[in-house]
Amino acid sequence: MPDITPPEVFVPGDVAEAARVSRNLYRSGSTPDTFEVINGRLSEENLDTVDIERRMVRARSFITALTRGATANTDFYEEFYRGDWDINALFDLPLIGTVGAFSRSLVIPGTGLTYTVDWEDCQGVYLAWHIGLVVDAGYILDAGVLKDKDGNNVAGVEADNLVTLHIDDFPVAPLSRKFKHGDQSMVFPETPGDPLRNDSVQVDARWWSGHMILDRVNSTTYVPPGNVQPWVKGHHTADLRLASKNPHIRFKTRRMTAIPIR
Amino acid sequence: MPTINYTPFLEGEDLTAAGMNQRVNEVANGLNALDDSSVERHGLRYVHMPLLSAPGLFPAGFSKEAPLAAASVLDNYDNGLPALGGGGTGPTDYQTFSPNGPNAPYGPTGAPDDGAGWKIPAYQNVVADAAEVIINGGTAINLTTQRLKLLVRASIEVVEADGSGGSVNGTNSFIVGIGWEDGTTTRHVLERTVRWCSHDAIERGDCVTSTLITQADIAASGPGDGTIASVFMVVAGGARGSATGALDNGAQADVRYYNISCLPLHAGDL
Repeated sequence: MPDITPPEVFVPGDVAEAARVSRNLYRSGSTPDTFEVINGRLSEENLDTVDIERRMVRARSFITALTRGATANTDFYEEFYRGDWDINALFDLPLIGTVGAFSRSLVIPGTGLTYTVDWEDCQGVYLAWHIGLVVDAGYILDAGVLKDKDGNNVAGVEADNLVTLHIDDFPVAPLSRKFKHGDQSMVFPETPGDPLRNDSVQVDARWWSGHMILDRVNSTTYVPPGNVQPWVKGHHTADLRLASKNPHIRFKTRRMTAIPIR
Repeated sequence: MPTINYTPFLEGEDLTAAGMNQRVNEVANGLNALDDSSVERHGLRYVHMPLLSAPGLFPAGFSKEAPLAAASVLDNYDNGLPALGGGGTGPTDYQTFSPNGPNAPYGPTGAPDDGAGWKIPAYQNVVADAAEVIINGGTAINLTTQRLKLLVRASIEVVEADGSGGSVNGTNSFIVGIGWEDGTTTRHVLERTVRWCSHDAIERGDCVTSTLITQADIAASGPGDGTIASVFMVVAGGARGSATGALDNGAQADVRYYNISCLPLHAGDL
């Protein structure tokens, strides 16, 4: 908290204007200097020889932290995403008739939660999540070469799926990941009798331990102005959503944590 | 309650400039020098107590993420880390930053950058999109003075990774870490945050590292001047070529989305 330096200094002969007196009591500003600063801006400058200790910080700051999760397998198949849409276009482009990935995304069960902001002075929301998954793109090894069902070599092929954080139904584009396919199908092995690549310990298993802080500076980048921002007092949602053109994606462990901060 | 000595106006007292100034300054001076009893629990209303975070020191926010739109082009990081002393073998030098590229050390170099040092991810070399959180508008602070610790976490998506191959199979790696810039604009890396991510593990989808930064980490008696102006993520390609620690600088990686968050926490004993 900055020192209080009353902006109005009265000089003998000045007219006693109410406005000038009021400005000493309250005047908004990026660096407030009136008595208004005592509301939530006490800091080391104001506390003579006092250390800020835990007992001095506003109580109940973490009371609304929340975690949700799930461990049962959840499968997504390409039938869920039929139609003409572009995995590489994030947003819809209606002028050229492009349907983007975000509008086709489906919530991954176990990653969705509703969190509550109880204060007027929430500075942001800390989100953290984890998902474990296996991607079956229908590729098989043919004499050591990975090929699709049409026999095309698919080495280096870009992943055909997209998992994105969504806040209050709005996508947060930089918090997206694409997950590369495994080199075997989950439902049939290269050679009959071989083990299926369908467990978390195989190299084909994928995971993402992500995080983000949505605060008063960056939230309007993702939640357009005019909409309720994710740190405003009230209820909000956070989840991960999948858009996929892969034949089969299986999610295993997943969880989402939301911690409002002030 | 705060101890504020205020001289009230008396009925019939002339309203003078001196009198007005005296009363305003009495209250202001009292609030500017609160004593210990003023901040005991319930001594002030909760709205007067410090926030757990310190948003005033982060006018640009606690978080940075990029790119904001579809990344049709991937950035390639082909920078390796040198060995201490500049030789080709021995312990890795975790404090050197690459001087190469359009906006070094931000963004990809655009060419093989063997043994040059760390890069700070910045999509398409745009410094404004760098994986860096600016503190206090770039004016360095002392964490003890501000009664803060910083909880920092950084992650990056590696899309493809390969290299000319270390002589030890499976040692090609993409390396991530967290660093800070001090008041003299010198950059440092917190070596405990360095993570070597195997190229096999990379295709899992994400490389992540995190830490809690304290004043002890940036103390003047150590590698810095005792202040901190920003925190950032660092990345490099690298591999261990042999048991003696020879570095193979052929490793490289294509990256896409990345983000870093820096949460300031007010608490004396945290």
